[in-house]
Amino acid sequence: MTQASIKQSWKEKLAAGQALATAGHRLSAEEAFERLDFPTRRDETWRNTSVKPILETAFGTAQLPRLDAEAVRALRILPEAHLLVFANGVFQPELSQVHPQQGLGLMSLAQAKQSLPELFAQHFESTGLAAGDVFAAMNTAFSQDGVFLHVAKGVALERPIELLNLTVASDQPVLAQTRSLMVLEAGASARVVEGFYHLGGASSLTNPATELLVAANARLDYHRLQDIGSQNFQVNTLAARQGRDSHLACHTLTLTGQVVKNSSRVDVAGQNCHTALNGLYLTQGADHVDNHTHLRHLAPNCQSKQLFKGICADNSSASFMGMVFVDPIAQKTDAYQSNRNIVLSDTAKVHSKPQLEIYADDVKCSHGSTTGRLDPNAQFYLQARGIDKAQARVLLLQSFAAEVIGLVELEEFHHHAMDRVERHLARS
Amino acid sequence: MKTEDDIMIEDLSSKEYEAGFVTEIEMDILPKGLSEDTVREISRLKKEPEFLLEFRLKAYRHWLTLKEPKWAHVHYPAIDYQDISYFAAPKKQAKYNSLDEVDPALLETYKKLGIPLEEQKLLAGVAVDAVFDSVSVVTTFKEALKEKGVIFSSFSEAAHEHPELIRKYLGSVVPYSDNYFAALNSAVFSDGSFVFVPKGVRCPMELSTYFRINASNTGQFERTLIVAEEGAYVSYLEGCTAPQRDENQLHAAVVEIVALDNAEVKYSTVQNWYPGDKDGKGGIYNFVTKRGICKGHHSKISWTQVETGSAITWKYPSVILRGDYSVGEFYSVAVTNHRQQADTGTKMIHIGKHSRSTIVSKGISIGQSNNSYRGQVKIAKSAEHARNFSQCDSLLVGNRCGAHTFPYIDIENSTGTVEHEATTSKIAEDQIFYCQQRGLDQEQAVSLIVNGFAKEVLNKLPMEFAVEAQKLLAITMEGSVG
Amino acid sequence: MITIKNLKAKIGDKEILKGLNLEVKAGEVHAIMGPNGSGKSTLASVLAGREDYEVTEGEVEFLGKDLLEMEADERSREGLFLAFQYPVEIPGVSMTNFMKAAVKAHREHKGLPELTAKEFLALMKEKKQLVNMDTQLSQRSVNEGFSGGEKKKNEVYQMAMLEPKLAILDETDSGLDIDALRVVADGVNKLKTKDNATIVITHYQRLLDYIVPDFVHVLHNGRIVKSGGKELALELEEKGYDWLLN
Repeated sequence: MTQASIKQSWKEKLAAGQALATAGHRLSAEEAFERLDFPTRRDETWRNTSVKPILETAFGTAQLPRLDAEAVRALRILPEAHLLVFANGVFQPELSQVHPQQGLGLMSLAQAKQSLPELFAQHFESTGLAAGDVFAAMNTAFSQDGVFLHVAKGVALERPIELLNLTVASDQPVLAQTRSLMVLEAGASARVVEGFYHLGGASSLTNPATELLVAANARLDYHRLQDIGSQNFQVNTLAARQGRDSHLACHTLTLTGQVVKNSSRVDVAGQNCHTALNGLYLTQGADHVDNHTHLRHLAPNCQSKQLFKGICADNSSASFMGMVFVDPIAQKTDAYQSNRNIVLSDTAKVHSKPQLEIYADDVKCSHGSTTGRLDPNAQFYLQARGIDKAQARVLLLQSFAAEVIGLVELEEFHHHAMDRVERHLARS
Repeated sequence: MKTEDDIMIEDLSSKEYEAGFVTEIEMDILPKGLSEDTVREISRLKKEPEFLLEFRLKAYRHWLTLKEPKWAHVHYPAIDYQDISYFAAPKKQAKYNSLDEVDPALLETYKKLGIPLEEQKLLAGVAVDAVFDSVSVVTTFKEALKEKGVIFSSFSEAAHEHPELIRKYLGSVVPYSDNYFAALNSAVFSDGSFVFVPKGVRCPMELSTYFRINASNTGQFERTLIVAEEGAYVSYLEGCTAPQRDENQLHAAVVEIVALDNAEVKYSTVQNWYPGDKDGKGGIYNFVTKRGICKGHHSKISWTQVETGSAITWKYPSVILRGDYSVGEFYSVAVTNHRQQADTGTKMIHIGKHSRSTIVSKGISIGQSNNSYRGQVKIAKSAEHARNFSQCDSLLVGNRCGAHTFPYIDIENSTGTVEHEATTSKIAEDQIFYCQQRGLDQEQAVSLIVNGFAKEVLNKLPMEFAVEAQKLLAITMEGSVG
Repeated sequence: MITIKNLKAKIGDKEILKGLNLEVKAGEVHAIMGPNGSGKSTLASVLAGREDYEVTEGEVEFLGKDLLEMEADERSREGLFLAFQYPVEIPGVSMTNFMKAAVKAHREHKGLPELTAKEFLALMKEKKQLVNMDTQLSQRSVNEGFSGGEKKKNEVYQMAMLEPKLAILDETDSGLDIDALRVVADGVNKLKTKDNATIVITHYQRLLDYIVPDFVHVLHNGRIVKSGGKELALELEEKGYDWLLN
């Protein structure tokens, strides 16, 4: 199929209902979607990820599946949390539950567009997601629903928020996308956990896009767990903007996926901000995970830390590409970016490209990247203490992974993630 | 280890450096423009064997199909390739029996540059193949080298005297199809150096060539080919200075190195092409393709470079580590000032088992300049137990400049190990104050600290080059503070 | 040698020196003592010309010239030397190179020709003996990886190399064991002539057993509150500072 015909077919599948975006955004995003080519390996940010398997899949029409409430409950990490469930991009109100709290606005984005039109208009697409990226443009032009979170000034959310982003296919591959908009007003705080799962049937492509707007003194902890299964695809775009003195932490744990591409852009636009972008990916089989971060320091006295770690087995491959940009006015920036990988097999591949682009002189910026095998000395040391080889290996890999998970402050997610990682590694 | 006295004498014996003057000398210049006829004319003027003309023509035809690369972190106005003269040679092309016969103006230029072409060279143990603009005019020490079987001559001469070697190795590391500038060079290269060190021979002296752009609007297309046979060793020095000129000048050199089993080649560069004035006007565009192949097992290729010049530098001396247990090294200092732009680094392509590579890059950005490290480390599937270590440090002086790091790390087996670290910092105020308290003014203090920052790399240079390099750093730092 | 009149200086908004007066003549050794935070190190930094400090009032005449008008490096070349409390590390710059550059700057200032390599080597050897310094030290980077004692010795060694008119020793005794202290003090004493002067800044009397001062001043709250002979130091040792400050 030609690019044009693929686009046409996708568009038909996605644009069947009412688009979220207002006419102006939709028009320019649709124009971008038509104009931009699907990325090839010649595009720098897609150097290590091929979209070919995605383009070669004939995605069918997204049906509304019948979801088993029990199965959905089993996926929950935080039983006490607010819950919004989406299936194939469609909001599932009967499976969702919001506990009212003063200052909390949590609902589907389509609903927010109706009931909170001003907030919606003010913030939707305010990070300029659609520009220059064909997948984000597709999301902006044709998204029909997703999450809307608004936390009013000074409000600290008591309960965390859990989002379940599910795909269910029949015998035809399914194409789905959600759009999330999370707005924290000055001094607000929230914790969000989003899980991506594929519940069965033929394969799926999810194309979620998320905007995080963190105002002055606000704090957002955003966690993602991607476990979509090895025949499925995800292109996940995130854009965040931070006001002064704010905290933003994004943790991404990727367990499975034939192709998972995470692109995250954070604009640190106010002074004294803290930003943490962390990722852990455990690739097996023929899975491929690609994390791309673009962190822009646009104000002085901010601190950012990035830690991405990967363990790659079998024929799998992983890529990390990170950019720290420091604007001339962003003096006293303290930025660190680190990518560490362990390669477990001779047929696994790892690509790492940590980058610095610095235009201010009074800064402390550094990055590191190491890739290698599991330290045989450490393994031997454990064996010498009576631990068998396989167990020693798992133990070492767990502790390697634990460094990233250790950065998660939300206890339930921390435990759940560690548990999942342990099980995942024990299997491999 | 050097004694203290050695270090002292080394420091104190540095020569005065001067640049920015023009020698008046008669030139043969081809009319501007590039076409198949130009390529043929170059080959005809140089009386080249047929295979070279064919190589050039293939390269030219391929070049026509290519587009100028745009991915580097540099910006410059479009180059009009038809507005460049592709061949300039000093009029007197006869071979000289002694230096007395050489055009005195030419010798004067070398003198100003501090190139001791005369017997001082003998004392220093350095043979010089001096390239003035494009054609080699004087080659010394050939006899001494000949005894050992070492061939060190201009490229043109080698094409006549050793066509079989040129034919065998030319384009074997950097094929004409490699990239835009390599294709251009392959089509129109004027001259350069050829080094061949036969099996088991340790070249008795450092080989050095000084390049110099002199004619206005004359692109410089050097071609260097170094071959070290089994067990051979050679250290090659390349140094450049360029006189002040108003128009941008294009420099697109190609250097190829081949190291067979157990051979070692050390290639050192001090590059100081004219960087343009304070506003970035004029200055050389330096688009160079340098690559070596460690073809044999236990072979080693080491690149050391000090880059202070050029308006734009685009240069990635690389090593293909084909042989098992082969070693690649890259040590670089790049300083940019005013509006200079440098995008430089290396590629280490590991193919052989147990191959090792080391990268140490020190970037210093001053004024409104931009300095980028771009490097690739690739551990192919076959490169079991390959190792790489990279350290890239950037120093910023002032807050209108930029320092960037773009490493590409690609690993395809489980036994390879790659470590990459990069830091960015500025000179600490208290370091400057400490130096000032000992009587150094700010500029001297900064220059001293920068030299210290670059020390690890400067130490890798042969002694006489290290001194020159330190001077260059100091000159480049001028006007950077205050 | 140096005359300080009503010197006031601040860092940021904080005034630290609040009208300090002091006169030091050639051949004299002055000790400045005082509790932590009294302004001792500020005085050293201000005299040496550190830019973090802003002089708001007062004047300092050094050998007939206005010291406060000069850049830090000019002050050095005019003969003012500061032995740092915390000597700064400069990676990659060897002590030899560092001293070569400094001696050259000083000699140029005096209109003297540059030393030949041989002369310079001889000078370094001579001065190193003064503080018993390891000859290997000069090949190492300035202060990098030096122990506390080595750093302080290195300061006195540099002082010997540059032969200042006025040396200010800022807490040179801090972090030294008694043997190192003796070596350092010994070096300072050997450098003493009738034409130069020394200001010793210290918190403890201990150093003054070895470098015997002609005058002792107590600095408190940015001013000299008491001056006396060397016996004042002993008195302070015995009674502490409190009796003076209340």
